[in-house]
Amino acid sequence: MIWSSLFPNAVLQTWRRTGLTGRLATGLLAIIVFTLVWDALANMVDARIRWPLTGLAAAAGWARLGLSIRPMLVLMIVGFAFDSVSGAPFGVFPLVFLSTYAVLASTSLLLGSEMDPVTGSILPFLGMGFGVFVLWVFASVLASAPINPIPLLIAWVTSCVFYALFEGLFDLHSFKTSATSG
Amino acid sequence: MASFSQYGRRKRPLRQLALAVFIVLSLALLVAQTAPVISRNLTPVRTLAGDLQTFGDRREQTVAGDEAPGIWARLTGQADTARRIKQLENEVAELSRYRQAAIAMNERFFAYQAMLNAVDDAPIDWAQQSKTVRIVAETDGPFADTLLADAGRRSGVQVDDVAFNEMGLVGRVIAVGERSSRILMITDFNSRVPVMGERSGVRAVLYGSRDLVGRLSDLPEDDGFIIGERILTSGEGGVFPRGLVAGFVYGSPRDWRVRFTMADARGGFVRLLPPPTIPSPEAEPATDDGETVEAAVQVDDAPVVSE
Repeated sequence: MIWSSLFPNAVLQTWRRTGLTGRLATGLLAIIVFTLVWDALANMVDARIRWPLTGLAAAAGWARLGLSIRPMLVLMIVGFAFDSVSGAPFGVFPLVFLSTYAVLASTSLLLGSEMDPVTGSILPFLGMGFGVFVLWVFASVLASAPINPIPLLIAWVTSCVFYALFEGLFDLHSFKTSATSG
Repeated sequence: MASFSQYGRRKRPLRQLALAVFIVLSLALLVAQTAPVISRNLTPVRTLAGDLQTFGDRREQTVAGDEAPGIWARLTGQADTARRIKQLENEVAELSRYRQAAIAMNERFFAYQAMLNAVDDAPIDWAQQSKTVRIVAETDGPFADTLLADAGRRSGVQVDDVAFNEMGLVGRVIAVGERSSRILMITDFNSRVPVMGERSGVRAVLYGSRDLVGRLSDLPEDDGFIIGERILTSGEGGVFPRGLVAGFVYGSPRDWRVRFTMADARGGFVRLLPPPTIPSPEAEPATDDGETVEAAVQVDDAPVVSE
């Protein structure tokens, strides 16, 4: 992983021992911090780049563990926050994030140990693409007309870049969970 | 890249149920918002989120319409320029309102004039007849309070041209060179300007006194100005056009003073306007058929002889 080489061993050891709640909190914090920093940077350089759907990246990362109630709850909260900020009707982003989470988690359960590394690497990006598609469908239905997909595609690309860079923060495989899952 | 796992397979049905419940809840909320009552109840949540989002944001709009500058603008110095541009835009917007009002009043004025069949000078076309010149020197020594402008005969400046700036009357041209002209300010001792009160209508003569304060004299004994009213040129004497602002009156009936408004201008430019031209009266006004009025009256008064 790219990010793991940046931290000293002590930090990595602590991260490995961190439980599910701690990792979820870290992921949530990463979403908040990144969204704020992105907004500030975009304002500084007067950029109009589509901000990544960090919640989508979180859904893709957390779904690797399979279904779990706490990630769903966090995704719901993040989704409502996205609804508030983006001006979307309440419920759209929770649905998008949860559907992405459900599809990826189901696929991971379905394929299980048969999944090869290449598929495992590509699957989160495809899952995020599915989430963006769901978002486009909802937006088009609410607008009563197909909306321009280009901004959403750009958001998908930035989300993929965000996921590739920070996927470690959304990894729920901990020492504890590995031990319990055997 | 971490691999997918099958953690917690035993609790899967419960989690699947939870996932379904969350999705259904979200969908229900989405559908419920089609009802205006529910949508209205969610508005405060959205406005709160909007407030939080715009807090410290450079796109935040204040009541005055100003835009809070971003960090980048502050660092590069663009913030001051942007603020100045915004300020000038506001001034232009405000002046545009006055311009519209002036146009409307002008139209009404001419309509009234036509209805009354009033005889008046030709209206002054300020844009066409006046020219803007720059003040290059100011002489405020003990002998004369004058300004030197950078335009003279070559630019069409003439002696007795009236000078005014954006705040009011400045003076009149007393000497013209090829490329320069000298303006005697109304603050000079030698300056005499026929004026009137804007509201009271009282006529007087405004004297300069070299200290940005003028004195009013030769006004009727039983009349007085209203303190605070504007003093305008009356147009009498034909040197200054009627209606130019000279200042504001203050003081007492024994000693009326005028605070000149021209001093409030900061531009360093004045506009020069040719003095009003009043045609000399004819010695014997002629009728249409060439006879004098007196003769015509005599003809009219002649007894009619009936055959």
